[in-house]
Amino acid sequence: MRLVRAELGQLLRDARLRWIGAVLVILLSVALVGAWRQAARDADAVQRITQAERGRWLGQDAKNPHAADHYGLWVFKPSAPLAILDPGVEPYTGRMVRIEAHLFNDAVFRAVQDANPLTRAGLGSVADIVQLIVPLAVILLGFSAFAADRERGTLRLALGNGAAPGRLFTARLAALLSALALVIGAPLLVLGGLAAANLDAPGWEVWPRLVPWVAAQLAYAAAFLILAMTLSLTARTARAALAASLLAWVLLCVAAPRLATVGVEAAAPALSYRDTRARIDGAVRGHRTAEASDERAKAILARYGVTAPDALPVDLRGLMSSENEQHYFAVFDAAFGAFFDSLLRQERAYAWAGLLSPRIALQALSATLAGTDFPQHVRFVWAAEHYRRGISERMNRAIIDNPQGGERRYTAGHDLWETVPPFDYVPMPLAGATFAVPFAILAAWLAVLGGAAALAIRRLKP
Amino acid sequence: MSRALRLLAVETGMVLREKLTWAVLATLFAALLLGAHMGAARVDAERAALAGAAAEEARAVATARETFARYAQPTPAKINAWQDPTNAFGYMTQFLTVHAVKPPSPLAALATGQSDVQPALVRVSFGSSTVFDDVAYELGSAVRLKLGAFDFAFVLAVLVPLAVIALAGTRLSAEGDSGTLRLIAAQPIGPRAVAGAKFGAVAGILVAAILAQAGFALWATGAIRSVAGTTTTLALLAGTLAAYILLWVAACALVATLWRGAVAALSILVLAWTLFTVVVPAAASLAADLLTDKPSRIAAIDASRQVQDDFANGSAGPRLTAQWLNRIPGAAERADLVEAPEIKRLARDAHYDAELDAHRESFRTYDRQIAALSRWLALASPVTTFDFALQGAAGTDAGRHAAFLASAAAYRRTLRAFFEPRIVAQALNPVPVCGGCQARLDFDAYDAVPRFQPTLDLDTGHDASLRALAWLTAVGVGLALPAWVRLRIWPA
Repeated sequence: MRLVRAELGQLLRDARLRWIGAVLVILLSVALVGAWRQAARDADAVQRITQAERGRWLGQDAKNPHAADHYGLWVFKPSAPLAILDPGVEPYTGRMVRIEAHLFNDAVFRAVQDANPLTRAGLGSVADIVQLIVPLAVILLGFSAFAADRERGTLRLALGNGAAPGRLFTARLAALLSALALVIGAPLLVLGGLAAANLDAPGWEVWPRLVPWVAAQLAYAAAFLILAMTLSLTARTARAALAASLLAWVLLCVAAPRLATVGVEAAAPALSYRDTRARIDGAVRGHRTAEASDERAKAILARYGVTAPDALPVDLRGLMSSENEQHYFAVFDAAFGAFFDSLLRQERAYAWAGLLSPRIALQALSATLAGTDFPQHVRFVWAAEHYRRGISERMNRAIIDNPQGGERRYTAGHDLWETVPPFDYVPMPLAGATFAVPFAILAAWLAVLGGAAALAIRRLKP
Repeated sequence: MSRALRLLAVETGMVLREKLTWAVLATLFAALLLGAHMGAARVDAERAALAGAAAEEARAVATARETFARYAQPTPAKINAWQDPTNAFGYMTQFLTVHAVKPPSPLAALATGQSDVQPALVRVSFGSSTVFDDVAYELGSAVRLKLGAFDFAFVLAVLVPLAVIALAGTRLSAEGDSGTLRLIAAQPIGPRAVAGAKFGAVAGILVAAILAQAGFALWATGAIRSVAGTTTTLALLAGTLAAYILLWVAACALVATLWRGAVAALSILVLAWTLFTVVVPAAASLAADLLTDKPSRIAAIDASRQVQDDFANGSAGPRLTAQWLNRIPGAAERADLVEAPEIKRLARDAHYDAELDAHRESFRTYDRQIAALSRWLALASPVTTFDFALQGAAGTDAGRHAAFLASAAAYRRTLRAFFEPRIVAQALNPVPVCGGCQARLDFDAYDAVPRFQPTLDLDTGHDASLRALAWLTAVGVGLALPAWVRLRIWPA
């Protein structure tokens, strides 16, 4: 412990730490505050339009329920509060869905669509800074841990004085990790906690997500620290240690994530959205022809043992509409089910691609912990679709129960509109999230690098 | 002069004998081949999507024609308007399958640019949920979009500077560390000649090797199949790539003149690379957002719903429909038409378009402004300068997309202008149909439906490359000059 304190004291006197720490704290704070303000603005706008939409739905004139079903409404995906730290795939997925009869509409208006073309070139979020800049900062802090001493000859002195290499390594690692916890962990925990607590986010389990999220970022930084110190143990000069560490950084943090896209696209291709839509259009169009409708109408009349729609105890059009919807639901379930399953399979393949680089593993783990991963989006898409189906079924039921014909025209009013509850999206709980693979891979990276460090310590030559 | 050339030849030989040189060049070559291959695959996929859309359009027309023939016979089955492609209104709202397309340019494989997040294919429809010009997109892996494409532009703009730093970053400073610089300084030769030979040798090798590798990669992978009409742009891009490499060599030379040793030189150069690759673009992006007024999608949706609400509820709908009818000769006295579904729909859509035009225009203006502003702000970093030049040449830039969206919106108006008079004419004077036929049978001009005319402005790529070449040359000279001045004498 005394050794750790001594190393920490020495480290805190190092100008490099002060500069790197200050730059990191500034970068993280700017990104966090910007994201926080944007999230607060968006949440406010979403809340206002959600209330307005509810008011418009309830305030409709009396009309046939099918017209109300077509009138529909918009529902909005609530942003995860920890999206201010890691927006994950949120900018790349639609944020709002038009709910209307017959149509499984896309979630539209991705933030990236409206972002300026420079956005993707730069650092967009706190998570980007942690994933790309923190490893570089850690390398600049750790590359000289042993190599510089070796060059100066002080490593020979230290070992000659009986300092055990393992203890020396552990003390330096502990000191550097403490510094990292101070300049990265503390701001993320405090500012992230403050911001997340200020965003109204029922059901998002902010603190149970935030604490492991910060721990994951620190574990990632620790992996690069161990890597840099291990290379420092083995390199003959500080220059060689730095060059090797920077090469590792370029490969793992810059090149590997993009290379992973090449591998995953080849190994786990997803179904084409265009083909999926075409399949749905084909299945729906064949069902909508006049001849097919006529056949179904005849079948319903036969089922009830009557020959004319007016003799039915229910409304023929309502019943046909309801049965049509059931057909469309089955088509959507099959086509979009397969489509989203293929995307989720690809998502899991990306998690395994974490074996190529801890950055990929962290990205997957971080987004899952933050609640900004793709499965959350898929859950929202289906929640919106089930809400739409609930409205359609309710409207069709009202039509079925109020037969029209001859002079009889059925119109419903506020009482029926009110039976439709507001859209209440419940995010996927943390316990239901699948982070085992990226977690295990990140842990494996730490274990492998730790093992390499132990080996290097054993073979340490002054 | 001859001594300088001799020195350059000696240094070139030495650099070529280093294993690191060949390792870096081999890695870069592999990356360029992969980047070009990925670009070619993306362009092939885009072309396949366009061909698929064209086939879908042809199929829809064939189906409509076949349905027309079937419905032209007497049938007991009731045919609703939404089931009837033999009617202009039914065809326009339910069966019309047409697309606005942004075909890949001849140099599209060079850069993914905005093409993976902005659609190159927009199905133009008249559904009620069409609030904006750009609702369509090809849903795919969001993680892939987040990680970014491993494309040719990534290799050239991001990895090439790292290759330059790897080979030139510690020239002179490594000699300083090892003590050989003192020996060199003791010779009757100035620092400019030594530095010129050292950095000149690396620059010459890198420019020649990378240009050759890039050209071979594009040719071997079929990323560029034809250079017709793009030779000037390609030549300018080659010049820009050379200027970009020389700029980073000049940066290495400037850092070397700080005489702080190899570790400091390497650290400074990698930090500079990080600064210009991610930090400056982030700051430029922030500036772009601050300098433009981004319209709110949510506010626009709210406005669209207010307009929809006004029309659907209360007395505004019939009143607006009657007003719309009044514009049509012979329709004012036909009070019955106010309740005709197709007339209500046309009046409603016209009302929506008029009321929401300001919102749509604000998005178009924003798209144009942000594309133009970003082009200027990209000059803040050599990385984005070069990347934007590649995007401009590839036709995957934001400016082209903004123009495409505007032309897609214009195409939608053209289609409406095509169908509207036919629908109104049919409403005013329905054509008689055969006895026992249930369909309307008033529209079979499927082949006369206007087609989208895609445009491709090759000058954009030419201008973007020229701008980048001029700017990168200026910045490169700006870095080389202080290095030249500082190399007047050896360090003490």
